[in-house]
Amino acid sequence: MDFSISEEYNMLKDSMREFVKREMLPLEKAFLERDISLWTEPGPQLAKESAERLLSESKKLGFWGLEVGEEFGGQGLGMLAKTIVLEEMSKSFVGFSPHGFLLPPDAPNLYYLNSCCTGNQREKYFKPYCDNQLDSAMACTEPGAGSDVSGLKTIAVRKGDKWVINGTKTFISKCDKDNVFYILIAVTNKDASSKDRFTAFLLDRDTPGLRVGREIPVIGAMPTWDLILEDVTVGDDAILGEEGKAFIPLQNRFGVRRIELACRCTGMAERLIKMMIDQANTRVTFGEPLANRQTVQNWIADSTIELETVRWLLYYASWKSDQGIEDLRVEGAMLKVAATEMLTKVADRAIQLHGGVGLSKELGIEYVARMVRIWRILEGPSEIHRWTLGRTLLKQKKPYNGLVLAKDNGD
Amino acid sequence: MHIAVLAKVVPDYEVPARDFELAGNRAHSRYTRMIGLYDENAVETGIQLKEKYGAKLSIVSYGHGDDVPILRKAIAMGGDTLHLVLGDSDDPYVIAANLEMALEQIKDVDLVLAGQQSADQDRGIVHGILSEMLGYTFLAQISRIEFDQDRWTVHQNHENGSRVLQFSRKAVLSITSSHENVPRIPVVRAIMAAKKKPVEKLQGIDAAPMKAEEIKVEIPKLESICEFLPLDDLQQTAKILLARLREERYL
Repeated sequence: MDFSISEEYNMLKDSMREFVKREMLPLEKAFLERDISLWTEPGPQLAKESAERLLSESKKLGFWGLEVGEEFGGQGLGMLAKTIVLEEMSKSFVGFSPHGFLLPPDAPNLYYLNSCCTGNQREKYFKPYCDNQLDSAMACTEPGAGSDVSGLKTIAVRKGDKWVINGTKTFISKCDKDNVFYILIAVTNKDASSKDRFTAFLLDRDTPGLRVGREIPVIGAMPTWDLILEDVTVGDDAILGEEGKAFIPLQNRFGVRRIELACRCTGMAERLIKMMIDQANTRVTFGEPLANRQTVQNWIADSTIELETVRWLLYYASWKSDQGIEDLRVEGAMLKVAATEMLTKVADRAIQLHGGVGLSKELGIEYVARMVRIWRILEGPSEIHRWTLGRTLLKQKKPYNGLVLAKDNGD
Repeated sequence: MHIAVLAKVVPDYEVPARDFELAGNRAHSRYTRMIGLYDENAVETGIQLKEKYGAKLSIVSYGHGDDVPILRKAIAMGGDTLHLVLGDSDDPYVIAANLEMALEQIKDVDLVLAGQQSADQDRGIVHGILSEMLGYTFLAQISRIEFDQDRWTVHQNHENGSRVLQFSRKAVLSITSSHENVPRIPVVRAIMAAKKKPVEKLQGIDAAPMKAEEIKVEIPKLESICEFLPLDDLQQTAKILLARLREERYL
């Protein structure tokens, strides 16, 4: 077992650290202030010119498409490289928040598209997506079906050589983007089991019958919308993957998102622990620095224990993905619960340690606390992940075994 | 044109001096090691010369074998080759003699660039000694270099101004930081390709050390934060000072 980091990956991490220091940390003050005014003045949380600069500078440095194959203009480095870079980026509030800055292309749909695009879909959607010319939004959740996809009602009915799709989706992100296309999940065989019931369709933003409904305000700057489908008619060339076979790649896609979410949590947790250490060493109460209080020491120690426990699970899951193992549902579920609950606790301790100033908007800890609260629901609530993990183990009648046998190199 | 940049690996210079821990009169081994701050300015200057004039760029260092992964950053930034003389002396004469040996072996170096001072000992004397040994011109605190018709034109920065100098011989230049030589961040592809560039490890040589003995090393535990306020209008300055003290919660 080798836990060392390669020289190249270490340098990648250093490069992102420098990028964060030069380009992202200076934006934090304005970013946190903008958060306060979002309700009265809607719009992006990160100023347009800042977002454009981050995109252009990160592209010059080659940070786009770290896990995209070189044949599609990416770096072909895989999930662990992306994890290390994203973790470093998440040490800034701008890089931590999905409403700040994301390195294109957004990973989960990238993996989905890469594994399922056929024919000219690769030219039409995948390549422009890799190059950030197109953006994508997953349209799965419905008013009556979130974590439980078996309740999906949006239906695609075959009529001749066409599919006619009707239904309503909700909590769909990126509907305000001009260059978005949708990966829409619809029922194509309502009597089949989950594995054969759903089909994924690629829908252009301007497809006739596709309409963006009302915006749904939630905590933080996370704009989402209803998406209404009325007799949307498409051909077989709109099917992503195979007819009726959307369930498994969809679950795998969720696994990728959960790994990515965990990167944000571990990166930011490290930043908060650093803030706790600095505050404990400098803040004096009743004649002594906070660092001398055992409760404060315990907060820092517990936060570190919890962070490192999650971090190594994260590196393991990313490494496993790089071994070509696509089914990361169990690891994704464990990570999603562990990472979001870890950061919830770390952020809470960081607020407590900083006292009144910990609650202030200028410090940013309360922003993290709010954001991670969203993440305990988004991409599957903790309870669902615990349930699926428990159910899987009970069905298999044995505990989880994370060991992967080393590949035989033919020696 | 062949440029050599001297780069020294030093303990993390971002650690505040008051927090620095010594072990055996040197930085404790727990500190992350990195290329010195001004040395990175020198590497950046070298890369710009390479890009502008098609120069060859060699990175030269004196230190431990395990410095190679750290020095490889200079390669990822744009250096062509890495030459490391193995040795562990802190003596400026010994270091200069070893660097001279390396430069003689590399051959045909037109210009030697080095950060104006190292980020650990801040002495700023090795390049001066080296230029004496090589018989090269030495110019300190250079921020910009141009080449035209066999002549070098360099800008020397002082605290209160600058001057432009010209020369046509080989030279050792100590490089200061300026907005023109902010070290670039290595790009992903260059990072992944850095290991393919040649690395040469040279055995260090014995040389006569400085005739002085180190008795004691101390890092004073001082903390100072300095901010200059405008002094055009005293009343206004006093108001700004009060506001700043309130902002920082001293009042």
